[in-house]
Amino acid sequence: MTDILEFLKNEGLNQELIDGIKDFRAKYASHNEYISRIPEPEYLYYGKDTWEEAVAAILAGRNILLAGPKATGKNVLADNLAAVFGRPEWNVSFHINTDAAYLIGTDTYDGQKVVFRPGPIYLAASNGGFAVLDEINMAKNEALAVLHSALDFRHIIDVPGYDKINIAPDCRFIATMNYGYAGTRDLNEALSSRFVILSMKPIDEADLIRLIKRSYPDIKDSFAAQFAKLFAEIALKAENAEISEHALDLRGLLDALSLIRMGLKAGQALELCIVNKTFDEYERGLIKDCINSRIPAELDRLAVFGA
Amino acid sequence: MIKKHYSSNSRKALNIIWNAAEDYNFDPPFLAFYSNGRPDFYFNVIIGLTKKWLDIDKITAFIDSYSYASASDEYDEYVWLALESCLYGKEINSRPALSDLRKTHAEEFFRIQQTLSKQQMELMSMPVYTQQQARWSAVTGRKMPIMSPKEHKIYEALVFPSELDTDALIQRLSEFLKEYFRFDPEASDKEAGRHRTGLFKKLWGRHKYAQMKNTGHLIVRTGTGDGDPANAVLLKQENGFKKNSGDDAEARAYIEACFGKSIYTEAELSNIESVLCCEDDIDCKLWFAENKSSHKHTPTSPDVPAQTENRTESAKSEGNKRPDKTDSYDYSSLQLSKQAQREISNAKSSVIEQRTKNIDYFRKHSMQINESIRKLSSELETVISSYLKHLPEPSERGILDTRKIYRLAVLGDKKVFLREGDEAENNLSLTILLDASQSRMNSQELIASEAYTLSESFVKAGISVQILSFRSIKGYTVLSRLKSFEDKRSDGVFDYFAAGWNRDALALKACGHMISDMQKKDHDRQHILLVLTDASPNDSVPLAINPGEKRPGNYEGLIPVENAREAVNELRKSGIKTAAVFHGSTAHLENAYRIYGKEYIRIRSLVQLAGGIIDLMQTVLRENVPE
Repeated sequence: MTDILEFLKNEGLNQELIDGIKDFRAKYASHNEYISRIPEPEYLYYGKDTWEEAVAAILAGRNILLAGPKATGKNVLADNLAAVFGRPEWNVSFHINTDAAYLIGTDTYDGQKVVFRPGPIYLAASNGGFAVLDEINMAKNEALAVLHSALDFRHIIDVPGYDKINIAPDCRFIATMNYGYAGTRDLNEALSSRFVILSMKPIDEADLIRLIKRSYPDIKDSFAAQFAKLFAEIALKAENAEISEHALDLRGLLDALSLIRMGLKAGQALELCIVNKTFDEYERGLIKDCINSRIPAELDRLAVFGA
Repeated sequence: MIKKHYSSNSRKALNIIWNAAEDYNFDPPFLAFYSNGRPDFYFNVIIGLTKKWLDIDKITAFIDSYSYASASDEYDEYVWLALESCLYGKEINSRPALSDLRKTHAEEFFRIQQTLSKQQMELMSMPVYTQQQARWSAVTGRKMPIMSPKEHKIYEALVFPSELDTDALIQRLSEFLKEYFRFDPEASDKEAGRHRTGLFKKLWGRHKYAQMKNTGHLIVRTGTGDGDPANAVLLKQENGFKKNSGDDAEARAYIEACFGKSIYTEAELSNIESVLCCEDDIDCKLWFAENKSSHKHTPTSPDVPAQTENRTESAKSEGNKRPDKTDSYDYSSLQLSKQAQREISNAKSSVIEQRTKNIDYFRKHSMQINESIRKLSSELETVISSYLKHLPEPSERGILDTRKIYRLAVLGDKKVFLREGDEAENNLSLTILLDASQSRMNSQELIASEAYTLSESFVKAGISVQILSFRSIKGYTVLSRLKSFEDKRSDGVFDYFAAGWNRDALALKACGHMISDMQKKDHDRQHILLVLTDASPNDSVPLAINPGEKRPGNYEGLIPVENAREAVNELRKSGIKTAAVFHGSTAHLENAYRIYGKEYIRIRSLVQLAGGIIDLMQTVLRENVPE
């Protein structure tokens, strides 16, 4: 965590916000029971403006919706936020069959009596956790109505047949939504009005270079730039619907670099980690062309990382 | 027809250009190919870089300025060599891989030269060839060709510094042509202009833009240059509607003879027309036909090889016979002129021929199609099952079922809760609506196979399917049912053929009417409408005349697109989940988005169908909100 705070300081985050995070952490200690749920992120989110917006919203007691295309770091930011605020995280993946019972909890028999078996939202709400509502727009709107009272000024969850629980003051809801190039739909107004909405921008080239260099400190500067440019070019191609979003995979790009460092040629590594993400032969051709115009296939570890 | 058609290779070339230009809205005036049709990777990058670094409109204008010259093809080669050297210098720092690409291109140049025949070599311009050889020798470190002092000077003059901006580059190119070829593009243009004035100049201009230049590395001028402001395919407007509709009775008889009797009675048809043929479609008529041949021909599926053989043979033999002898349709009752009867006979013979072609295509691709069906149906089952309303089943947790609580106390049965079970209520129906207009002419077999794949996959996934096709002919918008919900097989779709126009809005409304007729009988049924379209509505029946206008507007461009969008919204409001599979040129992609919103997928080949449909179904089944 200290690492992330240090990182935010280096990123030039407003000092008041950093102090705010420290105060928040001092005020709300985590329950030991859930300490293992506080994430330790593998990647850090780059983007000072987005960081400031998200931190300010959380300090102001608001819930946030991270909306943006694939590979814009929505989940990385959500994880980073839980980590920096030191909150246990409950991750809920939304799908078409998500219903109130899945979110809040169900009845069950404990051997003596019928008891309530709490769901992830209930647990996050009662233990001051950060509930990450992943791909919230994948669920049917009616299934999400149960969250309305939790997300607005009422700060309660009413469990039918049980108690009404008050949301802990340190609990926040962080929703993510793939507001992509095609095939996704909008969130309904009732729900979107209950969030502060952060429009996630694709990582810019300079930040991507820093991310690459942080993950692979030994990479040559010139190649960090070329791989960052390659990613931007694939993103532009997906944005213009020439290819699907499958190949737009930041993790894939970083994986490719690790394979190059292990000794694979750049062409092979990128094929495994980027090109093969899509199964359409024509699309693969377009992605290969895009890669070839930037990264020679025969490039090896020595060229990219040095001795 | 004014239409930009991009083949798969052209699209590949475009993508390379867009990537280098960093601009996907760029409509490049050039594409580069090798003579075998393969995109020339390096020169497409150079074309993209021309857009990135220079004002490509000015460069294009310069290239046009000498296009009247007899040696214009040679000048093209010199210009591209000059551009290449300048742009390489500009880009190399930000794209070090360009050096490798340049070398690869140079190696490819020498590889191709070795494979050229003597005749091919004779067709080449030797001065140009020498310059190319010199440039690519220098790049690959080969020995330079033997050059005369003048050739050597040209070689050096063609190495343009990277600092040049567009104007300086054009200035230098101009000077180059003047100095070494005594050719002045500006003077030439003026000279040409003096002789070519008025209409002739206009026509010449068009010809100039449309022509293709096959040069050494085949940089091909694309499109018409004149563009099409409304972005719609312009089939040749015959102004023939009045002529066609001159005799309503004959038009009606023609439609009936070609497509069969309407499934609605005269009175019903008239009622439907009074509701649906309004506003811009006021002058149109409707016809709903049941496809006769799908019942009349062998109803076996072509996926059974032995039977397919027989079937195809029978179809072939039918095609060989004189259709007027085999055709038992009673023309006399329809009072058709002899010419009309001939037209119908010819049309029917073409339909039979097309059916044979559809089946042949299916057979050639049967492995791929069957694989698609297998993959698609299993994935559809998963998607659809998650959408369907699951029936509750007893469980150890969930909602307490108070009627069974006694079992807990008496029998110790903990399954007194209810949760969603595996069993689901299937109430989905799918209508596939195929655009069967002339513009689909080049993809008839593919569309028939796509529709077959879709239909069989959905049927296997437990969804009932009907297939309709639509086209507009002689003022009638005709909906033909190729497969009904009751038909067990989808063979009827091989009767698909392309002819006539497409009045999408009216066809969508008519299709909606057929579906809502069914909904009246079965309220709980949920309908999905999947339209296979090129999103480019066109019809010979003009739009309605607006007050103050003397002539009606042609049914083309943006108004029909807007009408189709409204029709789709109406369908969605009435609860029919409507989506589209777009299979057309990029120029109409925007139309597809306009009409169907996000509920469409674009596919270019059969291989893409399965994956695309799954994504589309997930979107469609989740929610379908009218805009």
